[in-house]
Amino acid sequence: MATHLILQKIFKTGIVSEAAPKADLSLRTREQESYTQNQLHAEILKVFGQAVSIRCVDAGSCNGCELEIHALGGPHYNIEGLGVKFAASPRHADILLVTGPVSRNLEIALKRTYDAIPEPKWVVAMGDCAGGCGMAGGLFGENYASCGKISNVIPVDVEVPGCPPTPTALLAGILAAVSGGR
Amino acid sequence: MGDLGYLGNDAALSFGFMQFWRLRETWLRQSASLFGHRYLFDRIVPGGVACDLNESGQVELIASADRLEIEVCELKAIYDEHAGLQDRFAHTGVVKPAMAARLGLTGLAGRASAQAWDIRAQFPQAPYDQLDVNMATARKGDVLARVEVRFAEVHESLRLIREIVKRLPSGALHTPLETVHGVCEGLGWVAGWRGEVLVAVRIGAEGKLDRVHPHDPSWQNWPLLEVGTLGNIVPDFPLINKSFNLSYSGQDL
Repeated sequence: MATHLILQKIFKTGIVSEAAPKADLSLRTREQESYTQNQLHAEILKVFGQAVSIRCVDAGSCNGCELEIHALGGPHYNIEGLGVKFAASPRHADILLVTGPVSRNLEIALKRTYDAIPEPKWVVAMGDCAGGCGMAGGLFGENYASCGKISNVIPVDVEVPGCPPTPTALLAGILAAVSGGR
Repeated sequence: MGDLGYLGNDAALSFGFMQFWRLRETWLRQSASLFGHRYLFDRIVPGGVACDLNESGQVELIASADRLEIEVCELKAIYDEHAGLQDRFAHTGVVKPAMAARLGLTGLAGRASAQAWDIRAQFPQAPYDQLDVNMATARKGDVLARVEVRFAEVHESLRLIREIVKRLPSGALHTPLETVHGVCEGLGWVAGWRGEVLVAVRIGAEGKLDRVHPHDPSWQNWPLLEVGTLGNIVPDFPLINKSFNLSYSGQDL
């Protein structure tokens, strides 16, 4: 019977979830004006804390970053246990998580997704492609195929470096976007 | 591991997802510790490899392979026993062998529809020429067949890892490459799990790239996924999609 095998396996495996990393505030790239001026946003954060919805957009990535995003759903990171979940629509989202250098074909779609997310919102650029990899013009350059980096297209709040960033690094970046401390 | 977990998840067996993604995470962390990168990016370089595996690393790798095999066997027993899961998998997303042959379905999904192609077995380059790779095939071409092929390939891959570690030659990690003079062409052809990956390169007179043609196997496999979804219920679409696990970005190449 599958049920008793499943229960046996669950007890044998135990709990593998690890403590969440601290928010890595050094990954922040900008402070939103409404943050410091609008007391309401600070109040919202106090109540909702880290319980955010994330909308993911693949703007031309190799999907290595996507694999690490998926890994966050696994038992070691237990992102749902922290209150973070992925949304099926930008209308439901608080955070826009973007990977890839923004291929020209996806530039308009990315802008429209960003516009569709209601305030307050934050943008996390994940990976070296998205953040430009510290190179002028970005990893893939600004040319007929690529826009260079996410911040060339939409305002970015956090850049998480890595190729791909580990799930822990990504989680620290997501937490940095929404943490109350500034 | 990822696919087997997701297939369980999409049939509402999130136990399967959590177990397989636990195993996957453990394996990735070990890859990072042994080779310096979870996904081995930049470990294979022109002329050879970028890192070595010492004796203790080899012992660790084999021990992990053994542990993984035991766990996968336990999880397969659960997947096989779970009637609801089997009911979702069987007869879903069928790609008949005749259609697979006509449209050229390759890789793991192809082998589950009786397309017995695996260049590791049929055109083996080192080290596969010494390893006698076993091809896993099935005829039914449904999600269950693709799951069965995946389980078989896990065992075969672990066997190959053990054999390769046993035969690791000593010597330089990579040979230095000479500069190219004049126009020349080259072809790279390896087995990926979705099929054969081919990259053709032509270098021009000034030593710069003149032509590059990368062929990702997902390019011709996607139409077969379309064929497979016809006549299935909407909730089965994620199952069919993940049972193929084709590349979104590779398609665009």
